[in-house]
Amino acid sequence: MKSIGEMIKGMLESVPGLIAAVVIDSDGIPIAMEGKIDMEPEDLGAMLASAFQCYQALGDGLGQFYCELVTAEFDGINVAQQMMPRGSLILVAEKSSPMGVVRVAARTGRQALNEAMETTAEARKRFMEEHKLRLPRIPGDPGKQRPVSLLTFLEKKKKG
Amino acid sequence: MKIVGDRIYLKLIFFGTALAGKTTALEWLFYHAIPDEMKLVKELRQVKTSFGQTLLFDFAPIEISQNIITRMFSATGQDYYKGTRTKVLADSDGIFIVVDSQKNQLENNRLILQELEKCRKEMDGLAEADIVVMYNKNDLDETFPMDFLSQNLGLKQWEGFSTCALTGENLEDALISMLRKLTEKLKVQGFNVE
Repeated sequence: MKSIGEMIKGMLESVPGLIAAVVIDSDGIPIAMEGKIDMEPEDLGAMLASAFQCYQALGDGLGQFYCELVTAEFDGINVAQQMMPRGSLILVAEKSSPMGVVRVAARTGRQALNEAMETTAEARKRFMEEHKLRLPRIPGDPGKQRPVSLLTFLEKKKKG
Repeated sequence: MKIVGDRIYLKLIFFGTALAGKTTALEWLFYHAIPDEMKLVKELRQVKTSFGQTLLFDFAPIEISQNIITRMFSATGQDYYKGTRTKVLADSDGIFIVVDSQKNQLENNRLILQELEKCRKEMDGLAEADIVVMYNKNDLDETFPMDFLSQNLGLKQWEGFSTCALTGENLEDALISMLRKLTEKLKVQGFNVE
């Protein structure tokens, strides 16, 4: 079975106009990167994961189950970020490259990469799981009248 | 501060090292101190990693007074995400610096305060943001006292509170202090604020 690096290298060679391909896991940790991107992989991964999570949160708010694909058209390049079960595939293409082609390449690439991504799960978990915070939630009193301002409310509360 | 339609939007940030208690402080204030009637969302909006730590921010929009919305964010403290951490600081009106008072965190506190200072110099308007310091984890044994930390970390110029985000100790006082500063600033700019 091909490695993730080999797979995305194959995409770069077969899809016209692609200049870089990146695979990150769901927390932004870069797994593989091929092509030319003038950015630190960690920064790139964090940015992409954050952006994708923002879209996912937006989708949640809009009543959607998951975000499949995010595309961005910059002045010099086009970017497509395709969700995968354990991360995402990012394709960076020349501006002249048709977005439809990039989109199709991202969707096709997802299928090939899914299985290979399974093996990264444990590494991600070890990296992240030491940082957890939880606080039990106490519901508020919906019957309370609305105070004039939060500052007034808190000051009055402090005075008892 | 942004004015959109007839509303004023303020931005408050909880900023500090990883595991200092930023999210816990925001959660405590959101679920225990702020009346439900003022919350614009029922739950905190959180952009977390798959394992529960803050990836980009936690977010709570609050209507602190009529037509004045305060958007409260806790920035991620994880250095891994520092590329995005500073983005959350943009356009802040107030910053809660959350200091982890544990003795073994002194250097980490120093480093993140250097990062904040750099941002205050480089990001437009950030130097004007009001600052209140939470010296957190005062319930633990191996901690430095507030006076030592404020002196040692160069935070003496800002009002500080010895806090415990888990129990909420002094969090409301810190929020009152910040709200007073923001209210005063709005009044100076001619807004009729209670």
